[in-house]
Amino acid sequence: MATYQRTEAYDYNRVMNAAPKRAPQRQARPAPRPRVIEKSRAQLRAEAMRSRKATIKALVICAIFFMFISFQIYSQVKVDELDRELNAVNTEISILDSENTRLNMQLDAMISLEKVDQYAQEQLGMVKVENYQVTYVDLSGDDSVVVSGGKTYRNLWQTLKAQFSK
Amino acid sequence: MAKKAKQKFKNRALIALALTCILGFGVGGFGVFNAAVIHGEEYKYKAKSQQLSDITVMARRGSIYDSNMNVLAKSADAWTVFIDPSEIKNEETREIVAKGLSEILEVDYDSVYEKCGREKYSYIRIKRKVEYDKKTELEAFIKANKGLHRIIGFEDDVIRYYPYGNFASTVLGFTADDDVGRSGLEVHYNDVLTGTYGRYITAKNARQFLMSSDYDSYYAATQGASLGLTMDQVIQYYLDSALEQAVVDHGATYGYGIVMETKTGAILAMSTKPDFDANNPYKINNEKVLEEIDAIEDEDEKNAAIAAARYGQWRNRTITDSYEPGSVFKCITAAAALEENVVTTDEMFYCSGSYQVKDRMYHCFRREGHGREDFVTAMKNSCNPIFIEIAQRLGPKTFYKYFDAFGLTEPTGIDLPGESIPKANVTYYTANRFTAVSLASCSFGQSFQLSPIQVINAINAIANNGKLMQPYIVNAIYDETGNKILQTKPTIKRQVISEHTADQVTYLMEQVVKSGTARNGYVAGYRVAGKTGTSEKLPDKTYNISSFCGFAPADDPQITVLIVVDEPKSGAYTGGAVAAPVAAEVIQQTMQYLNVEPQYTEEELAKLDMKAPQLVGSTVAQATKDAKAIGYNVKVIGEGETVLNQTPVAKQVIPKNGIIVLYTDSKSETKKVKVPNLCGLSISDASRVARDAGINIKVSGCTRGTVVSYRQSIATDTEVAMGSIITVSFKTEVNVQD
Repeated sequence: MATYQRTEAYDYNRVMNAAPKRAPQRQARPAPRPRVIEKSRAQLRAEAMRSRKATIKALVICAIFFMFISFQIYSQVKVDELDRELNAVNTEISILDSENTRLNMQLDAMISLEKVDQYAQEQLGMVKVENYQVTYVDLSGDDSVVVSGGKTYRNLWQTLKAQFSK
Repeated sequence: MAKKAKQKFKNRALIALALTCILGFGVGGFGVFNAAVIHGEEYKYKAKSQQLSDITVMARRGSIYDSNMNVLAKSADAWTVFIDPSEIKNEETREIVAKGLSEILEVDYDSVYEKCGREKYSYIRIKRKVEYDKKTELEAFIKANKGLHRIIGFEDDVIRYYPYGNFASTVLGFTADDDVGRSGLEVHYNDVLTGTYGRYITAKNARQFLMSSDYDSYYAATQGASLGLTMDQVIQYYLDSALEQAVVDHGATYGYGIVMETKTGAILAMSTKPDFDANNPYKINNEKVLEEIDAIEDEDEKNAAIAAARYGQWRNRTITDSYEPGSVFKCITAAAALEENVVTTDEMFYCSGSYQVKDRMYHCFRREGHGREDFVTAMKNSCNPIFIEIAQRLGPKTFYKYFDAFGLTEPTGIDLPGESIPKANVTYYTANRFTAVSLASCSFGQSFQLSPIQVINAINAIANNGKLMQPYIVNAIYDETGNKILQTKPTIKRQVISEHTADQVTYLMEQVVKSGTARNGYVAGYRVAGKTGTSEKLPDKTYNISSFCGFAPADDPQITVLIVVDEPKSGAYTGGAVAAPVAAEVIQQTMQYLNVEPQYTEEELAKLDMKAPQLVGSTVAQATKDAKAIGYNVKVIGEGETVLNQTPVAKQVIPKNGIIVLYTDSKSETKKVKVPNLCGLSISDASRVARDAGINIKVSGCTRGTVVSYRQSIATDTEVAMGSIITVSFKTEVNVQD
């Protein structure tokens, strides 16, 4: 006992010196009689069939579940792929749109009024429009139809108006 | 005893258990509290950045269109090219990168080579606003050289195009590298033109790839709205060309001009020359200024001069600068006097050549005086003494009342940035600060300063039956799909003078153009009303500012035009000699463009050129006879008997007594002649020189009185087909001293 250190928390003497308790002796019981269920051959076959069906059912459910999961994964992959494609196409549209703007701006710069004016006068020998080349058409009057032969057809109102305005 | 010890043990065990719980759960609990509350935001941010991708969706800047929806400014995507020098491991790679980048991006090799050597850096920008074609070329270069994809990279950027470069650049302005407006409309309408950036937030997986769209949020970017201007590209071109030529012809420092739609106050054209290329705004465009800068040796001074030159060329001087309007202001004095009935158009005055106000003697430009003259003649002669007299009749209070009513004491409020703000008793006199002397000098447009936009807006009120308009340049704003979201409506500020007075002043101004100091502003077929002005330039009064402001047609004004030539140095310096011919050119072209039908007077019809007759197909004898019968000279080229071709062609207008060249042989080549010098001649002399050289001239500009040619459409010594028509511009320098 000297090997044990003194401690306040545990009273080892009680444990170490205590006499071992004897385990209570169990009383022998009579052996139970086996239950015997008698089943016919047909019953046994039906049971086996049921068991097989249950197994198949479980397998089918597992397969369906597996397919469902697979489909989910596949659709997710597809969505991701399409997303990527969509982004790529959108980026391309944006780039082409910018390129279109750039080329249009270049074109506009090439055909600016200043350049057209210069080219027309210096290269093509053209001159600016003169007033004599402009014909002013008076559209303030009423519409009338002129047929070959110089006869003018007017409706009744126009004829009356023309008479009064004379 | 044993029971006591048992209890003690039990207590100790409970304490140990409690301590374990407190320490264990306490640390855990504190951890949760620390992560959730104390550093919650920090961890939230870290988690987000680790698990979420937040991409900014760029909003493209809106475009700017002219009144016919021609694009004047438009944005597109571009890229910034950068390098990671820390990835350049050897000299050979450094040279390859520097050579490739400098050749493709057209940047200096030495500069790129030096940047490639900064191995401590992992990001150095090489060039911004790289366009798609260059990017594609650079990508091919990267692909062709192993390992360059780790060294050269691209970032999204944006580029702003101004397809016509200098075209109205001081009005449009430009954007800086950050796509923010820096001057002109670009800065004034920056908020409208700038869109709202969008965001695309989505989850990232462990490999930092974006996860499916089930986890994302997309906030679409709103593209910037576009501006539809009142400015017309064609009229702007006419104004730009005429002003540019005037600056060159007169060695002027600047030329400014505005064309306004009379009835609405809409700006059809606005120009300051010289200006700058909006695609390259930092390049100094003025050769003379560049030479001056190059001559500066001190580096600081040079940089300051470069900065000043840049700011100078970006300024829209038609609104930012002010000047003494000179005699153009006499229209306002006349309007006030007629409205207040202190003068009538037929009232007689006497100009002795000077006018004494207290201790100050004012002179008429004609020192000997104009003698007896009515008010109309006084206006035609731009006679200072008469205007001093009528201003004295008006008195300071009434004079100021009209000065204010014409909008000259406040900015016009045009939708452009940097409009000069008049300051009471600094740039103009208030009623209580007028003295007899200052009132006298103000009566003919001196001793106060106005901006060109104020001047044209005031004169426009006279043209517009006395209604002062609010000038504007943005006609409409469109959203990204092209729907109009805002339409500017013309705004009448007030009725300044009565319609009757406006008609009277219009009549006076028309007489000034017909036979007064503004004769060079005359345009055959169109009734032009206008007034010239010449003022000394402040502060040292060494140079002058020549101007003309007028409108046409006088009976139904469509456009109001102001031309200002700043510091003309060609000898002629008056508004009548310098600015009026420019205005005439702009008015004539604009009237034609606007399809305003010319109404020729009998006198004008008699002077009109004639159409060349159809002589092709006739025999040489018959053609010669027909041509001579209507006053043309004939030159026959070839040996044939029938006219196969003629120059000028039939129906082309050529002056009376012009020359028609008849080609009678298909083998005969077009006869070429050299264009003679036709400047500095009278109309008859120019016609004679042209006839001797075998060419025709078309007379343009002022043809009344003593006129002299100052410009020809085809330069001297140019080879042209015999019989060609060259336009020669004439102006008078007699009695246009104001």
